[in-house]
Amino acid sequence: MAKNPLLKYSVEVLLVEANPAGEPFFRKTHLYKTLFLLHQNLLGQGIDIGLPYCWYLHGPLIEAITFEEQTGTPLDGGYLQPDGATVPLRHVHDEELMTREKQVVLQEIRKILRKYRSGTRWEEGYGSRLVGDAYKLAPFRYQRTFKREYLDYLVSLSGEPRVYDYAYDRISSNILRYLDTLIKQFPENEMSELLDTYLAWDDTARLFVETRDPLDALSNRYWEIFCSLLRVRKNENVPEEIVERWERSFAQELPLYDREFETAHDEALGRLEQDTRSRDIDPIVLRLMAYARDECVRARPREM
Amino acid sequence: MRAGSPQGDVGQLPYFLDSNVIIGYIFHATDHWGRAAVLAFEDPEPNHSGFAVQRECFGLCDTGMGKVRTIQKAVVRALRRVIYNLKRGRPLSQIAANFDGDDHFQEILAEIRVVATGQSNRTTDAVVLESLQAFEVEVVRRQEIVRTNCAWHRRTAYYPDISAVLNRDISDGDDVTVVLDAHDIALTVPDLAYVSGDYNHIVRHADTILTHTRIVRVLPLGRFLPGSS
Repeated sequence: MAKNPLLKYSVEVLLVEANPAGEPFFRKTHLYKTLFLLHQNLLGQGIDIGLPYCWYLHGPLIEAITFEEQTGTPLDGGYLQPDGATVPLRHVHDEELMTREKQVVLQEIRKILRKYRSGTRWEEGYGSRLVGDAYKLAPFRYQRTFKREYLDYLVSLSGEPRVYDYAYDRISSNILRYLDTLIKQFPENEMSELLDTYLAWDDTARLFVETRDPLDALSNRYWEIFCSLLRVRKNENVPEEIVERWERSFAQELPLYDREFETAHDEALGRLEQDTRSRDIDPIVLRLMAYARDECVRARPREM
Repeated sequence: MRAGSPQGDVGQLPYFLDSNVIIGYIFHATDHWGRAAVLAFEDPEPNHSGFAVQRECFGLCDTGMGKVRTIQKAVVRALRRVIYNLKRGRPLSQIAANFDGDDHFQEILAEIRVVATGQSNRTTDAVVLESLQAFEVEVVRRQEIVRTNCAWHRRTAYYPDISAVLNRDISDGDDVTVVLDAHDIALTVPDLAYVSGDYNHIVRHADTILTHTRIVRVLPLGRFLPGSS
């Protein structure tokens, strides 16, 4: 008997409805996003299936350890085949569940699937739409802009390297607009410990725009550390000890990312075209120099 | 007398540069100290310095943890936050309130306001970003010059007797370490002059230093300014 029979039932009914033969068009990511949408829709109807998940790199991610503990079945090998497709299911465990609950769950699953299928046929672009619908419920607007707009834009550029040559002005202005939007949306109250890292990344990204360096790798690295804290802040039904482990992992990783962005920033500074600045900022620069020097001298002892 | 040589001095003296000269050169301002540091560093006489100064300025084994890098990072972090707040629509006056008690930084913000006022083609945050980049590029460039235009020495001898004498007058043990570094270099570099802007710990004790070490002169940094004697 599963600890959480409603969760087990919900997953199994979903698999039977979405992919009874275990075909490769309904995979891990589709399962995760559909389960998340189901969980949210059911909450709106007063039913809590207790889905353990967190927001992570690609949207809502099911927390596998807790999931297995609650359902008695592992995700990998239990509900997912080695190639990532969901398993074909013949039998749904529905013991000790009220008929009304089961009916509501089944109705919601069918309602969700109808958005992406015509009859039993999956519509064109269903995967992207599913991810997009999950992201509409993302806790931070910043997340949606970063992952679904900014990173997608970079991906669209990476397929066409020559576009950099003839349309760089337009590309750079688009990227800078994204960066400005992100600055306005950064969740400073809930992610304050990431602010300086974020600003270091942003500063470096702007330098990369000036030096015409591709931003994909740098941006994906920042997204990793952002999501490392995001899963700590935005999760449901995940036991405290697991969240604490994530928090420790974030604290350990953060300095490594800081150093990486610092190095990338310094290297980009070295590539920056010199002496293109206007002279009117000289008084500011001189004051900055004097400020830095005096701070150095104020710092005693000699070793810092 | 060459341009930039200490005023009133004749002859060629190799210099041992204290950390305040190096720092004054890297973070170059146009006040007396800044000008004197540049004149001292760019004087044609050979520049030398020791491990203690190197560690103070640039960190152990150039780890980037020395004063120069640490302070540079602090300034950059503060300016990035200024840009962040400006881009989020917060006025400069409100941002300045976060630096209450730091008059020096308030002056920087006031200067930013002066430069940004009346600019139609640049936003205030663009002015700050440009200043930040210019500051960093200049600091990095000057650090590179310091690394290449100064001979850095590593002392292996301890000189316990000299150390004991110096410690009686010079209260800060770190300052004594730097003087011993200079003494060690002076054993192989004749006529070494110790240049320092630290009047309280070093210049004031010039007699003690000259009596007990092979350093031949202690040059106060201000002596490099035109008109000083």
